[in-house]
Amino acid sequence: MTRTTTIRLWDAADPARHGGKAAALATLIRHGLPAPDGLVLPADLTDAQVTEAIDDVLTWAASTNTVHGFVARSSAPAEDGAQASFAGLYASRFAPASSDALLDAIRDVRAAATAPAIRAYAALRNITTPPGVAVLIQRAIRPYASGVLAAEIDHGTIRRWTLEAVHGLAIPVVSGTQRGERHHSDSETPVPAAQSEIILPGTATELRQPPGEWITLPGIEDRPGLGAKIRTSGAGLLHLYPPNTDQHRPVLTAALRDQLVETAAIVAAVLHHTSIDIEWAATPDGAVHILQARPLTSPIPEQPTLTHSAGTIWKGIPAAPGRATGRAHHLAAEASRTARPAGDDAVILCENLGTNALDALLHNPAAIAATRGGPLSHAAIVARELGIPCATALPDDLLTIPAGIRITVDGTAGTAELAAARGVDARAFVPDTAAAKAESPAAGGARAAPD
Amino acid sequence: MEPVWNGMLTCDYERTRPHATPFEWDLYTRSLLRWPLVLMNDPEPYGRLRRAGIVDVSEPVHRALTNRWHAHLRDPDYVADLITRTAADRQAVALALDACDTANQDNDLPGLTAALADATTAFLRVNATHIVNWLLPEDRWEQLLADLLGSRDSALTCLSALQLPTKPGHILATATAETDILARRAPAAARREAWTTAALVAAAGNDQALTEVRALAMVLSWAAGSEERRKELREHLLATARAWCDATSTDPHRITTEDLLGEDRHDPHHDNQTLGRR
Repeated sequence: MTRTTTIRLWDAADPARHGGKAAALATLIRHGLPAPDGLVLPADLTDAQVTEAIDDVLTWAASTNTVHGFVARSSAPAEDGAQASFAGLYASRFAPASSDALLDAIRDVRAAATAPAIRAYAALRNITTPPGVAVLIQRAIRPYASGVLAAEIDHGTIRRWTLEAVHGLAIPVVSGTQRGERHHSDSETPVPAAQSEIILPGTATELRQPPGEWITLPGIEDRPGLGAKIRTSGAGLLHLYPPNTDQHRPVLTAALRDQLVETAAIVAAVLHHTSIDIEWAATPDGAVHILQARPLTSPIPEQPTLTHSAGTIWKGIPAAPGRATGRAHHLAAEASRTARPAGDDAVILCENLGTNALDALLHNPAAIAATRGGPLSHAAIVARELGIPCATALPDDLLTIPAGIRITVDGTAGTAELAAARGVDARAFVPDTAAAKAESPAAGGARAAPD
Repeated sequence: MEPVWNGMLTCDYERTRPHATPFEWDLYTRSLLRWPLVLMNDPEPYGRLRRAGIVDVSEPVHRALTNRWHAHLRDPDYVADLITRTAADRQAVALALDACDTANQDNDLPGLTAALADATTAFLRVNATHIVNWLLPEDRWEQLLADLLGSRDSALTCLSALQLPTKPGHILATATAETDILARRAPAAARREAWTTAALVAAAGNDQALTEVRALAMVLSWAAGSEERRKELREHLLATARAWCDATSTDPHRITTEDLLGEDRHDPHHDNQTLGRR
C-alpha cells in the first residue's frame, strides 16, 4: 500500500488536505463514536495518483464488508465549517465493489468540486475555497432508516432539535425531493413522511435483478423487513417502490428517535459545537451510524406543522377541462355513508372512481382529483361525460387532506391547489394519520394502472 | 410501465394491480404480449413473458411495434376496421359469458366449463386493447391539434372532448331509469361534436392533416368506449371464474388461464378468432 497516497479515516486530522467532513468524522471515531471507517484520498492528489490509489482502496476493502458496495463522499477543506456548510453542493457517489465503478465515482466527486455553484456560494459567503477536494471512501451502509438531525445544545443539554427520517438512504431528504417523517422537540407527534421511493445500496446480485423483482427491506427489532419492488437500479443503488402495506406506519420508533437525539448531543460535545447538524443512518442491528457532522449554520426551524399551506400545488395529468373550487370530500367516506353526501361545492378526492361514486357524481360535485390513472381512467371518462373538471395521477399525499378543506382543481392544467381558507383553517394543518386513514382510501405508490 | 433499464421496458401488473389474482395477472400479460396480433394482425409479440404479471419489452421492439401501430392510426380505414373488429370481439365475450350464466343457472358444469373457456379465449383479445392507456400517440396528436387550432390549451381541450365514449361509461350505466343519463351527457356529446368539427375545419385544405384528424377523432372515442366496456366484461369474466371455482371446489387464487382454457389452448399466441384484414 502506498501510504503516502491514502490514509485511514481515523488518521484524518488536517482539514486542508483531508477536508472538514473527514476531519470531523475522524474525531468521532477516535472518541469511539459510531462513524463508519474508511479511507481518505487527500485533496492534493493528482488524477494519476488517484488512479494508482484504487489498488489501495480495494486492498482495504478486502478487510471490510463491502457487500453493498462503496460510497465516495466529498470532503472539501471549507466544507462543513462553522460559517458555511456547502450542504448539497459537493457530490457523493455510490458504486458497486469494482475498481472501474469506484474510480468513476471518485472522479465524479472530484469533478463536482469545480462546479460554478460552489464558487458562487463561496463568493456569497466571502470564503476562499482552496482548489481540490479530498474524497472519503467508506463501505456503503444499508440502513433501515436514515436522515438528518439538527440540534441546539446548552451546557451539554439538548435545548431544541428537529429531525427528518426516511426508509433506506437519506438521499431523498438531503436532495429535498421527498418529505421525510418530521420530528421536533416541541411536539410528541411527528408529521408523517411522503416517501414515494426507497433508495438502498444493492449487492451485485440485487443490482442485476430487473425492475419488478422483490427486495427485502432492512427491518429493525419488532419491525421485520417487508418486500419492496425494484423500480430501477444503477450506480450501485436500488430504487424501490415503498410497500403498500407500510404507507402509514411511522418510520421511527420512540426509542430510536431518543437514541438519535442522545447521540447528537454526544457528537456535539465531542466536536465542541453548541449546535450540530448530523446525517445519520440506523441499521437492522440497532446501531446508529454518524455519516456527517457539522455545526448548524442556520437556526432550527419552528415545529413543522405546515405540511400543506394555501397555495400548495399538486401536479398530475389533465383529465377533464375546467377549473373549480370546493370542499375536499373523500369518496371512501361517501361510500361508507359516514359523512355528509357530496354537494355541488365538493371536490371528490379518490384514487380512482368506481360505481360506488355514482351518488356523489350525480350531486354535481365541483371537481374530481384522483391519484391514479390517466386520461382514459374511469374517473377521467366519467368526469368528461358530466363536464366536471378533473385531474388524475396526482400525488398520493393529496389523500391526506382532511375533509372540508377548500381545494381548487384545474382539469386543464392537471393540478390541484390548496385554496385560501374559508370557514376551515387551511393555512395550517397536520394530517392526523389515524384520521386520514379512516377518511381516505389508502395511498399507494402505483400510478396509471390500467383498469 | 417502469423506467427503461438496460435497454428494456417492464410492464409490471403485480405492482399496478397488487390485489389481483394470478389469473388476472395472467390475463393482462397474455393479452399484452399479443396486442400487435389482435390490433394489427402482426405476429411479433410485444416482449417476453417473465412470469404471469410481468412482461419485459426490449426498447427496439417497443419502438418498432408502436411506430407501426401509430402509422396505422393515421388511416381512417384502418381505424374503422379496428372499431368493427374490437366490437365483434366484445360481442363474442358477451355471448360466451351469457352462455356461462345460463349453464351456471342450469347447474351444467361441463357447459359452464366449455363456455368459460370460450369467454376467456375471447376476452384475451378484448383485453389487448388495454394498451390504449399508455401507447396512443398523444404527443403527436397534441402537436397536430396545437398547430391546427393555434394553441396547446385548445389542443388539450379538444383532445379531452374527443375522449368520450359513444355510450355512457360503466359508472353512469349503473344509474337507475329515473336519472336521465343521456340528458346529463348531452353537453359532453355536443362538445365532442363541436370540437370534432372545429378540428376538421382547421385542417381543411391540408389533406394529410384532415385524414389524420378524422382518424384520431375516431380513435379517441373508440379508446374511451373500449376501456369502459372492457371493464364491464372483465368484471363479468372474473365473477364467472369465481363461480366456476365454487362449482369445482377450486381455489380462485390458484387458478391459471390454462386451467380455464383447457389443454392445447394455452399457447399465448394461439388465436382462433377471425383476424382483421390488416
